Amino acid sequence: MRVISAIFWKEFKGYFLSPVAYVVLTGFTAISGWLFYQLLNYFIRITNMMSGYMVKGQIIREWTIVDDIMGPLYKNLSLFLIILVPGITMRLFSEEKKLKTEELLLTCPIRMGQVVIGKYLASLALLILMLIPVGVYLAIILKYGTEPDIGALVAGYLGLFLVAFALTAVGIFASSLTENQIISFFVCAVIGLFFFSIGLAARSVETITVFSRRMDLSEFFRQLSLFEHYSNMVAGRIQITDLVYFLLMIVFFLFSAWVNVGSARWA
Amino acid sequence: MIEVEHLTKFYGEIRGIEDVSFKIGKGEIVGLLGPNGSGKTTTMRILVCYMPATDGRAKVAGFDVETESMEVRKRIGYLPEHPPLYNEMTVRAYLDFVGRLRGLSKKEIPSGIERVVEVCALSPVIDRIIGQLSKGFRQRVGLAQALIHNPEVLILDEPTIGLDPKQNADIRALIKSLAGTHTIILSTHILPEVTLTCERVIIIHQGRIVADARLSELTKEQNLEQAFLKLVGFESAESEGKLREG
Repeated sequence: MRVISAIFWKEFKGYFLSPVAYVVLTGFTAISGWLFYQLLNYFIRITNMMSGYMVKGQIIREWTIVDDIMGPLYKNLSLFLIILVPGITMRLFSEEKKLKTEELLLTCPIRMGQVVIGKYLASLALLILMLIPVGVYLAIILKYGTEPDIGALVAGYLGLFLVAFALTAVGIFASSLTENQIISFFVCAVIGLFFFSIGLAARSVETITVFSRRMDLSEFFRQLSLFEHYSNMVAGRIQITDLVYFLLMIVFFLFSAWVNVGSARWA
Repeated sequence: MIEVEHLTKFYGEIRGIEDVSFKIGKGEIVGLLGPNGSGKTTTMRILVCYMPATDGRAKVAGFDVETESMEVRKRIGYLPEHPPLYNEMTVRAYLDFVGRLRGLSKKEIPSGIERVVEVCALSPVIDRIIGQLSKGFRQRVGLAQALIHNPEVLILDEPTIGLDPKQNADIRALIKSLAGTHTIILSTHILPEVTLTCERVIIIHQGRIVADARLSELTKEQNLEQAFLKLVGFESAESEGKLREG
């Protein structure tokens, strides 16, 4: 525990000793605030004109706060995370390799698992700080919105955290692969994009036959997609399968990072 | 204190060291000598549990480096060739961090920092950012890092590389002052260095030990440089040249 906390504080303070934390925190707050304002503004304009989505003079869906303000906000912010999270995690192990400080960690009486967890928690702490302002927008909606669906709004907010946590695990893994921070950034971003976009493929693939067994690939891709699971939460459905999906992502990538860091000594 | 038996390390096909054996008693200062790429760093890295050996065994303070690596790590202070420094931290924060990693308790850390700052003469820079320090101070912070937990065994990989003569003498004096209470292995390819600090030398060449003797024995008939060149096979080449010339 002491080792984890030592690593945690070193990394967490490290974010504030370099411009990283300030850039990320102000940047994200500014962009998300602007986005929230625009969505809110647009929502007010369209609700003044008509009460729902109209096709041929008939309203087929009413405007709701969840579907037309917070849903799009959450989904857009999750896309920002694909760029911001690698920026936060890229240096964690890459820099240790580059500056040879890894040699200190590998020869101290500590377990590499403790190092991975300490670093993971440090970047989570920064991300939590970053996502707190989004809670302010949520609070504004809850206070001034008419009959908001509280459950759905909170579920979406939690979903945003889970996406951030999963991407951070991917980022730690990417950082453990290379001493080059730029490569580490892109590996994380590409894996992130893969898990976000694989759901799009689900629509175009059909059932295939492998060894005379029929497999529904489209369902498989959909289940693999981070965005699908996240969308469920944004729509207000908290399901065990979605939570398990995020948990598995985190465990899998942290485990891979741990194996990777330890493998430095096999050479 | 340190027992190494038939230690062998291959990096894939490339030989790092082969069949290296030696014993070092408590309180000895031993110089590990050898040309560049001879296997000094490899030997040290195995002793500090940085990487496992391909074959053979090594024990530090009675603990096996492979099976009881945590016990070994607690008892070793290690200064790698590149001091492992975090440039954005202050010296104090860095030593505090290493102290925690080394398993010192909250109470032990301030006194540990005080001790190493005193020993390594770091008080003028204690609150400065490591990234701004000169090479000499960086090296001393690296040494302070290795001493923070007052280890029984010190392993120093080229501790005086890149220092000016004054700093060099300081570090040497420091190492000498640690003798007796600490067992020290230091590697170098700067020969005068060894004569000034070590009692015993182990010369490694192409991954094998070619000499292991007290300094006084080795330099009985010739100076260390001649002995060294002869052992690493340089002398024969030179005399061959002379023959051809003749």
